[in-house]
Amino acid sequence: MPRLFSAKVILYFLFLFVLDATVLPVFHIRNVYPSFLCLLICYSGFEWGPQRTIYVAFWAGLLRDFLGGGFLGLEASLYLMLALALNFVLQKIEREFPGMYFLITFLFIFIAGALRLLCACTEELPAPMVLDYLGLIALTATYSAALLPLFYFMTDRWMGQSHTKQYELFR
Amino acid sequence: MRRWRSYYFLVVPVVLLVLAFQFPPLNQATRSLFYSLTRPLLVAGTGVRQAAYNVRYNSRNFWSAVAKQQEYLSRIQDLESKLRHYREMEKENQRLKKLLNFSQTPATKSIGARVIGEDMTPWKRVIVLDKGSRHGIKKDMVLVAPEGLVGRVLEAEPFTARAILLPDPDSRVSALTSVSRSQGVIAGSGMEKLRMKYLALDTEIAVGEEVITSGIESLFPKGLLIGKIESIERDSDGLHLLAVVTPAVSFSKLEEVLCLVSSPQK
Repeated sequence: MPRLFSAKVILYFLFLFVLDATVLPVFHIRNVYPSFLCLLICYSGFEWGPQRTIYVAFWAGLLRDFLGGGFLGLEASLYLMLALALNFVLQKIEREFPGMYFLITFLFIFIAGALRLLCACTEELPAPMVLDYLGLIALTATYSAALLPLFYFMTDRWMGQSHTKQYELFR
Repeated sequence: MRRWRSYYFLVVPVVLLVLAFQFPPLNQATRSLFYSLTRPLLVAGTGVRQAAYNVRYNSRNFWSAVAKQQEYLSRIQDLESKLRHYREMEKENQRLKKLLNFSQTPATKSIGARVIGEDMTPWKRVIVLDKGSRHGIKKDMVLVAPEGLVGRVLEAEPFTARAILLPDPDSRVSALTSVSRSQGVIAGSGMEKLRMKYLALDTEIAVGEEVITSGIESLFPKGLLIGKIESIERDSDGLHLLAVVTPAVSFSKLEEVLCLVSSPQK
């Protein structure tokens, strides 16, 4: 487990930010593309423990705040609250079945998107489109969750971690 | 003490949020600083983006391009003959304008900018450009691509700019149809298609008709292509028609844009 304020982790944060902002939009499917910063929060919850997840969620949210046009701190607050909820859920459930990782990641990203949509409803969003937007969020969550194994591989390589237990698919 | 540390972190974003809400210039200045610092990273990322773009689109298009080569060659010959014809028409048009004492429109100046980032919110369509106020980009400047209208500049930082695209739910453009000259407002929906609202019920518009900017508001010059009408239906209020418009520009494949410094209308 790396130190959170090490150069390796900070560089990885920036690398994911650049990927999210520039490269991943190219691989869109029906205007939907995954978010590696969200996956990092889930990864941190699964692998690094609750304390680190809160820091990771805060910085990931702040980076997304900078890229978006809204108020600074909005996504940081959302992700922070969801990270607390994620930590709570991860302490309560069994994670032996690999599908749980997908489910938790999907739910995390979907709820984050839905809350963001709720905040955006104060702006001028056409009400009949809200269901369509929820569909977009669900697609984003599915797409991101589907990339979780790739993200695990990438992050483990970057952090120099290796998981030798073959019977545990994601750990 | 360690237990409470998480609560400190809960307070920090809330304080940030309150500050950003109360002092918009502070929000703007912080974002401007962030973009100035991360611009080199985002510009470096566009190299990878270009490679990814080539992998996704160009490799797939190679074989179909080979198959269509012959067809394109004959089309090029056809278009060249049309181009000669249009040049003659343009000269004739200029002569007639002089005769009618029309003021000559100034040449359009533009600045080319590259897309270096995109907003990650699924329904938002906001992009980050690699040029800002130091390069002459200003707020509300019009963005175009060779295919047509793209959007406008939202904010210009010193080295980057944020621009809103037509499909964004906050985007509005006054438009008219090219044949029936019916006026309406093009609004984004967050999806690929645009919606042309407030069309009169007795409008005689047809599917496939082109939609262009009307130039009524001073922001967008007249005559920029927006897209083609795909379908027409009655609006939910029952007082207007609503047309679904397929944009001329493929926003998901947008790599570079032109920022109009002086439009032909201004």
